[in-house]
Amino acid sequence: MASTMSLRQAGRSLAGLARTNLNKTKQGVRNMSGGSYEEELANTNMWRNVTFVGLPCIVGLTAYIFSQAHHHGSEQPAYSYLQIRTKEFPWGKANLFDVLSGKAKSEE
Amino acid sequence: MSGSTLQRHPFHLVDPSPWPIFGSLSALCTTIGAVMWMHSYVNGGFMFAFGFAGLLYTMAVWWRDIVKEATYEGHHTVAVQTGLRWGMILFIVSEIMFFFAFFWAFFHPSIAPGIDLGGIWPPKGIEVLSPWEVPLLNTLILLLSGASVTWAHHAILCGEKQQTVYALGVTIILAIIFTGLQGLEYVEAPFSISDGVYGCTFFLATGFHGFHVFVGTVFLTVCLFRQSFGHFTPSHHFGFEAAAWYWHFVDVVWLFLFVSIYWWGGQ
Repeated sequence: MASTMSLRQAGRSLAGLARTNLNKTKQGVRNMSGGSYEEELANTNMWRNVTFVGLPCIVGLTAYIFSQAHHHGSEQPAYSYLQIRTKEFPWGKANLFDVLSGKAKSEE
Repeated sequence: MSGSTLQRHPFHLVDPSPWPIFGSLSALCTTIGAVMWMHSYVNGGFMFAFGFAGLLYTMAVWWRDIVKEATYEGHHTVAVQTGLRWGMILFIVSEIMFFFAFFWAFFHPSIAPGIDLGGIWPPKGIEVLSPWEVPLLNTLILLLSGASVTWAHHAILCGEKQQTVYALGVTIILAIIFTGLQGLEYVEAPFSISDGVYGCTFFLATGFHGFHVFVGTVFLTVCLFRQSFGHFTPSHHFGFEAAAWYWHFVDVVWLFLFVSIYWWGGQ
């Protein structure tokens, strides 16, 4: 039958297509994994420059943020629904980070 | 491994290993120990620490075996690397779902705050951290670390070994600074994890992110040592790529945390 033949042919050409694509992907470098040595060197230099420009910006911003006085608002009211402690934590009554930073010792 | 016979397929048939069962028992000990510890049972803390030490040991020796199989025994063929890529992709997808749950927990009460929160978000009485101080700084630090890890990747691809070590070093230092600043924020925070739904969702989401930053830092540090031992080549360095993917994932989660919890949720 003509229709079966054409189906077979279609199948064969599809299989051929798949094979060539497979070969294409297996040769050379993976997608998004760069190209020639020169291209990669250029990319390396670009991202190194981005890093080197960014580092002083980070240092500057850190200095600026920590130079600003910490303005903690007035003591919050002792709402009954906050600071609820019905049982002790494994490390005691206080918050873990207050224990770690030594803040909690004065309270106990 | 039988070295004399020719292997006629590209797949890695792994040797029997004690680490799966040893790791499982350690995980069981860790979980039961943690529950006992949190409920103040005698020696609960010891059991938790014992199980956790077993988990850390399992991680070290199991990954040591994988590094041996990859670098010295040549088992990680192109076909095996494809499997490793799929494994890492599926792992990161599962991590996305993990964090999706915490964002859901955050948005559920914050989009329509109930009468018990005072009808407002942040809830009445909660003094929040300003997003434009340390959180903004942390955002830029993580973005810069994304740039430096890309620098490391391109340096590997053109065989610049020493430069790769420097780039990884910069990335790891930025990661450690991020963790230090987050620790500082946690100490300064005027609310705790047990202060209602705000503290609960805040510390759950940012705490798990912080833990992932720690894991990513360790992952990148392992890559730095492997690079300095000459394990990575321009064509074969999946251990590094997995670390870079993981690091970018952690970076993106932070961007979502910053925009939704610190910025949108802090107004």
